[in-house]
Amino acid sequence: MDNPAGSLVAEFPRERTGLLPALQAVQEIEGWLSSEALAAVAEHFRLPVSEASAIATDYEVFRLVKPGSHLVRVCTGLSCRLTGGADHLRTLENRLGIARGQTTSDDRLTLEEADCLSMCSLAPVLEVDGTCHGRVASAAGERLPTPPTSPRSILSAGRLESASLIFVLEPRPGPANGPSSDFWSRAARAARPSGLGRWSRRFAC
Amino acid sequence: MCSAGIVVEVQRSGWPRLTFTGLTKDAVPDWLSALVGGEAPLTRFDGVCWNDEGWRGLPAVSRHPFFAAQRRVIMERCGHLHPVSLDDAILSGGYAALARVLDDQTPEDVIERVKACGPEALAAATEWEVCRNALATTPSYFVVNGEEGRCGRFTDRHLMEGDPQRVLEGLLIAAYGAGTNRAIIHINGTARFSFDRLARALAKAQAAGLIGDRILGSAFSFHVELRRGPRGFVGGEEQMLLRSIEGQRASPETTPLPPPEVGLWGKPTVISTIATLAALPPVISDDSGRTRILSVSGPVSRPGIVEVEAGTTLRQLLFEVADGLRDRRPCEGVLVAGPSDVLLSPGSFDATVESLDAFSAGAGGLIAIPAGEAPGYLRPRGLTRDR
Repeated sequence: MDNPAGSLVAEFPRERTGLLPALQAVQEIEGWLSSEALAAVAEHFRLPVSEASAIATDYEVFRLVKPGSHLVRVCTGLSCRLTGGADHLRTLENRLGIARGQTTSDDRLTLEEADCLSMCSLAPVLEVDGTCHGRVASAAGERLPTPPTSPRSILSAGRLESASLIFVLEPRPGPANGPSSDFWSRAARAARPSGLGRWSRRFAC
Repeated sequence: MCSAGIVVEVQRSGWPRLTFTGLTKDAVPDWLSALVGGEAPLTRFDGVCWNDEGWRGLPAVSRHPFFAAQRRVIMERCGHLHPVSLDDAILSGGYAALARVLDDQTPEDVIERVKACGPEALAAATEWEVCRNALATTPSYFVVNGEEGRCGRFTDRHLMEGDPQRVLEGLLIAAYGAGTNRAIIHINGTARFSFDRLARALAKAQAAGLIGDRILGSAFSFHVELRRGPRGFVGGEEQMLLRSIEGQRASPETTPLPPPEVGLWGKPTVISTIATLAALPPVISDDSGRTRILSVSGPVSRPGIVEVEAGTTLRQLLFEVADGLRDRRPCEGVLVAGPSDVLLSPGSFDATVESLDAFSAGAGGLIAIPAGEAPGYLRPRGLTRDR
């Protein structure tokens, strides 16, 4: 496991309560959980690898397959579905030539379905590389280039004439009140500046 | 006012508080010169004036279609102050309820006060009492369930982002009543913005000694840890939440022991939601109006977070506050977003918000369903209720 992730995990207290935050911190930095990462985390907590794998497979957030360089997640919670979210997903699947949950053959883009990002009043919502975009226009499909070359082209095709809400969280120093909350900001600072780390930094708060 | 972005709040000494809605980047120069350039009416801009008579053509709150039917008590500060700022919170009455509680009320007084405020408050206060009465030598925990993973619910996030200091104040009051000294706030993994705001508010409260040892000179000490849950975690269920904090696989128990008796690591644990905590400071301050916060979404014209008094009907919420479905489409029903999803037909639209709990306990959101688009999984199971 790469040094930033490894050194961060090494600082977690070895109590079991830190196992889930440690796995989350590793995914924040590396973008997924490789078998080496699972083994390293299990070793730190002095647990069998099966315990770390059990937690990793218990939550759908953890990726055990390396994703593409960019991540597009389309919310298909009920409010987004009623306002066109499912259409967005189908359109992107057709244009990218992949099904939801898959990565393009050149490893550039992974398309996922998100089960409710809880921004229902801004439906339909798209999350692109950690940034959420609300009220994405329903007529986007016709304007998408085939295939979409980048998340930016997906967004520019889908944006309304009026402003759509965008917010990006920049890493901030976390409060020193416990290991879990502070680790998020440290994971953000440790994220690599290019490749996978580019979007995983935007995930962190 | 989630549908009305970009929303801009204007505060100037001598002026009433103003909120402008639907501003675009191109309109800003014209808007600024109209605002400060003279006394001309501002009728060509959309907005609301937070007083009783309006100002320069802007309608008063009581005449604005989104706010007229609402009574914002718990959310009174949302949008009107810097969310994280402790100074802003204290200047607008924040932490006064906590000070009153620590100065001259015992935990038992707090429990009795909260019990008198309705069925939900009674349930919460009873849980605190059970936790209090557990063995005195046992450490006990306060877990805040900020998971809010149901589709159609986003009130907890709004409260964490809009007034995190109020959430923390409510947490302190509740923990004092329950006799716990340690809290873990578990926030949904997708709610990065909420986590950020709550973390910064927490840091400020700690720096000021409002969270820590011997708060405000009393014997009450309290420590808080924030956690981000894994995204998409079905963590609304309490047992799964506790197991995930412990680092175990999250599986619901078939015969769960009640958390106030046997919870986190086998110790007495109180579990509460963000909305419950945010409602506590007004209760202590004797603002006894019983209001309810709900999320309204789906293809309505004015989706958003609303706070209404008891007695408000679903019809008022959907067709007055939210202004009905877009393009005037007929409404097939409304989904009540709670622990169990229940689809209510228009025949039930005269039900009041407090009766929603009878359909789905702890309901926190409404999703309007246009005709012909009810999700297939609801009809076949016969969950449609007609009363």
